[in-house]
Amino acid sequence: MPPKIVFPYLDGKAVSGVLTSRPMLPLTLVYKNQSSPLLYGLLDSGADVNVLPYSVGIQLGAIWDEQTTELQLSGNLAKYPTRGILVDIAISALKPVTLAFAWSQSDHVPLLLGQVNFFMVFDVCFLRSQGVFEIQAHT
Amino acid sequence: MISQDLVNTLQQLNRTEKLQVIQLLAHELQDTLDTTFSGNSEYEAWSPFDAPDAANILLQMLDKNQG
Repeated sequence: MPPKIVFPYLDGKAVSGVLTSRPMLPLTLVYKNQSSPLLYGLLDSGADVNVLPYSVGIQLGAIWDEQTTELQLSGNLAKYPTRGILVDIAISALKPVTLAFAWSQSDHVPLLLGQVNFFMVFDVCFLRSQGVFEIQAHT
Repeated sequence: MISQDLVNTLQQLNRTEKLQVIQLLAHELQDTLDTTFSGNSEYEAWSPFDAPDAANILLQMLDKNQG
């Protein structure tokens, strides 16, 4: 059985300045053999898709015009052009997997890990009262 | 509505006490501004909670990548 890894909720400031704790997952992204520095993705079980902020894609060496699959997002992200992109994700000691991201031309969004397909390939248990969450690769 | 009794009480305060009341109310208003929504403002709602078409397209990309 794949290992179960426990991560702490991290404190951060909301836009309003109020301090809040969120399930931010430390990870590394890999695109065409180019790795990102350590990033933090927000586990967003209410999001239908994973979302990659524009600048993170650029840092990975992705070229916007080469991504030809256009997507339409909802909410505040609906007004930004969005394209699909496949990126590998490495989490601690877990085996790297390929995730499909909606690459938004916005940086007014964190790196979001949503239902398609993060929650399809990882089992997640939120233990908010204990300030931790658990991740396990889906078998 | 503010009662006349409250107005009378406030008017009887000395200068220092009136400033303390202003400071207290200012802090309370600031807290309220941080936690409530106004109908004329725009707020960030990052989560694409209603994007099933985008989700289906990404699934197709993954299928094609695996195939």
